[in-house]
Amino acid sequence: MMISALIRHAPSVVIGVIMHVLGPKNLFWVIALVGWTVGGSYLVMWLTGTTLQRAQGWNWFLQPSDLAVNEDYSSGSYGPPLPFGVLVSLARGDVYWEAAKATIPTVLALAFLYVIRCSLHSAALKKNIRNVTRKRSETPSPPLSSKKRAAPKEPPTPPKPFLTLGYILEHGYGYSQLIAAIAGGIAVAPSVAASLTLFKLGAESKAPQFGSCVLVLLFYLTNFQFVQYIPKPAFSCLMVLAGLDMIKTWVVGSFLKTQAKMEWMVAPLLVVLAFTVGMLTAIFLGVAISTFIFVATFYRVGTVKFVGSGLTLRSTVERGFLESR
Amino acid sequence: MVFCLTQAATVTRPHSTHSSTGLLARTAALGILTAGPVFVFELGDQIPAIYPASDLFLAPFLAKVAATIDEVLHQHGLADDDRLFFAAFTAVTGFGLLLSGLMCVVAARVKLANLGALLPYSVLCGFFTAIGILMWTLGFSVDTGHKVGDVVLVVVST
Repeated sequence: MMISALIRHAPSVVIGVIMHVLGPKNLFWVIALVGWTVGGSYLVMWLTGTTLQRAQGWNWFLQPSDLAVNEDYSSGSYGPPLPFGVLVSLARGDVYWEAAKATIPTVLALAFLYVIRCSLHSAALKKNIRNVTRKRSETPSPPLSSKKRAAPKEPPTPPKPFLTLGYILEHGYGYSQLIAAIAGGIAVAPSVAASLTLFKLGAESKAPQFGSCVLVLLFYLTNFQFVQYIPKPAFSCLMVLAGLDMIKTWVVGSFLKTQAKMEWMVAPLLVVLAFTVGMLTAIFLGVAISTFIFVATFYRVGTVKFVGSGLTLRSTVERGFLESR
Repeated sequence: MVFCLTQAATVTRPHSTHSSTGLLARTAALGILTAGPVFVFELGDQIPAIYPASDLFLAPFLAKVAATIDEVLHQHGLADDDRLFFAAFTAVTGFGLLLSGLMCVVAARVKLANLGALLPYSVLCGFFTAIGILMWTLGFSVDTGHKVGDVVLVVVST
């Protein structure tokens, strides 16, 4: 079982690692590697004489039955995942409340932690505007006609003053989540760092962004049937990439950045706690442990010390006459 | 599209006799179709190339929600009822998003938009590392159809 599992997962790990190395240089590589994974899979199948049906049978691809909709379900009345189907199913009383109640601890953890995630993500998004604007201004322009060359060069548009962190969090993340919740979908997050290549293609204008939504609509309307022709590693490598990125940034990066290694030790401890007592409890325990460590460190600094008698807390710092008055 | 499929593939129903990947992918796509334009419309003028995609950060939580619902339905002999599963799954997910969306709005209004920065750095590191590891394990599940924990248990027992 283990050998079989490792063999199945190995391609995703290899592709994920390559993406992790090349991705920061240019996002184009991530997209290209997904494409090469698909192409490479078909090449291997062609070389080994493996049919698509056999590869699907070996679970290297999603099977048509994975994507098929149960006939009882498809022939029934309006409901999820159709737009606002969740409201219809709620009104019709289709929700099995006992099952819903059992998920409350997980859902509360999701809501609380997702706000933190959105707060950090919106800060990263805001920070990235400057980088993107600079990158765009550095992009070499294509050769222009003499008429166009005469036109004055427009400076990169700076972000408008009202684009604060609060504005991004409320108008971007907040409203989009409310819409997704009512419509019955899953929340989305914007791309923080689109590459220079995408800008060269004119990806920053609104049309291609709405166009990508139209493409998703096509897949939505066709029940994602096209996906059975895409090998599983093309999906799972993205999960490996996301995992690697996070581990590198938040374990290795933070270890190098943190001077007090005792404080850093809370991070791996919190990981262990997250897998044993749950994520939300682990966060609260982590905050408590960090606070204790901070207080201990603060007292060791030596600049200010206090003597507590139970009734009073006095500083031991010797002060001058005027200060002590 | 790839992110929708990845999101869907990570959500499994161990007690159901058929897969729900297609329906779950459509659920994720519905998020892009409805919430995505909000991002572009609200921030597209000032932030270039937003390209909203299904947020894989939610995948571990959604996988756990689905497994819990599936378990309760299985206990009542209803594990194969897609209608009940999806009604509960989308209602619960919607409730979670409604709650977090409202908290985002409130946080922004009361000048707590930098809420994440108020947490100790080491706690943030541990939190995101745990999510990263969970994401990797979900990738493993997509490829193999097994959970990492189950494979480790088999190895330990042999």
